[in-house]
Amino acid sequence: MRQDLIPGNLFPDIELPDHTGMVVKLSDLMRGWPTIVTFARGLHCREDRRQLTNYAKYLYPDLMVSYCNLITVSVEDYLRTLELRESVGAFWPFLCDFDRKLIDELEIVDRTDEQYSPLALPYTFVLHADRRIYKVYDGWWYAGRPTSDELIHDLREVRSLQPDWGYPVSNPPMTEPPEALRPGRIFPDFELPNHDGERVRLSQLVEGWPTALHFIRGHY
Amino acid sequence: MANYVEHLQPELELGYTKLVTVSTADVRHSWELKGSLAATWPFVSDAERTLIRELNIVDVTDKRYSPIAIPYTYVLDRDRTIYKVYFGWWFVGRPTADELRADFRALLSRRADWAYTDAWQFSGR
Repeated sequence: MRQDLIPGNLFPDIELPDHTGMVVKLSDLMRGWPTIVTFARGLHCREDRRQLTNYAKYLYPDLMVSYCNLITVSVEDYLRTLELRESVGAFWPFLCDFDRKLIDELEIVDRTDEQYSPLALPYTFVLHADRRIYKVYDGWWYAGRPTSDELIHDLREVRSLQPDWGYPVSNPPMTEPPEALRPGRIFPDFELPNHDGERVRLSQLVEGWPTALHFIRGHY
Repeated sequence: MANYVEHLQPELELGYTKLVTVSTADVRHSWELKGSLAATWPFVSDAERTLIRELNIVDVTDKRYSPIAIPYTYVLDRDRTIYKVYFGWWFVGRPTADELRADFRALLSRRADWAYTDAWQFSGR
């Protein structure tokens, strides 16, 4: 891999045709939000299919409410790229580097496959909103590829560095709970009606077992 | 919460762990939300906003529904001691099912009867 593709450095603003044939620029797809860029070997690769199927099932639904993007770069032509995208149930953009110019430029070329070489080395890049690299995963072995959970953690880290991370109507923007609700404090034993209208205390619900207490915005 | 229904709910009872959702919706809407998600854990309704005001976790930015809760998640130990706090103003700040599973494990592993070698000394869970 090219030596400058390391955390902290700027990822190139690549420009490639997408799965519909339209030429798109990475920065336009990012729209100023953190982005994950995965490189795929192609439809024939079962590791790619597994990785991308996991993302379609577990990651992308969360990304749709997370203001973050996912982009896959394949070295196949439009038709095969479209087939890969559809076969894994993906709805995010797939870019086609079928003349291998980009993977050559990034020095992520795999020449070991007797039938399909040259292919992309299956790296995954997590990018800050300004295209700086936050993390790089080397997916040569399948276990090196990031899970959906790892990517959510990475995006949390990346997002939390942005100035709009906190609750905005306070000065400074609030990212931590009030002092009385920090780790180590006892949570108040409040009493409220439950979903059946019966008044219950928190201690009745906890019943002496570890509990996740989850405040939500509402029913909408 | 759909993630929790799919990935956490089946394990809550097996793991001797609890999940409680607090919403500012009234009882009827809390019941509807719970039903629409097929959630089996308890939902409590802070329709008067007394709790979120007392806790100072009020979001007043929503033009239609304010005031509503800032979506924090608190992981509590058995005696309601706060173990961890997740700030969910943005979705990626909210804990994944796996994170809650790991937090529950960390809390349960503090128990004297966590390890099999000590289990005989205690009569049941």
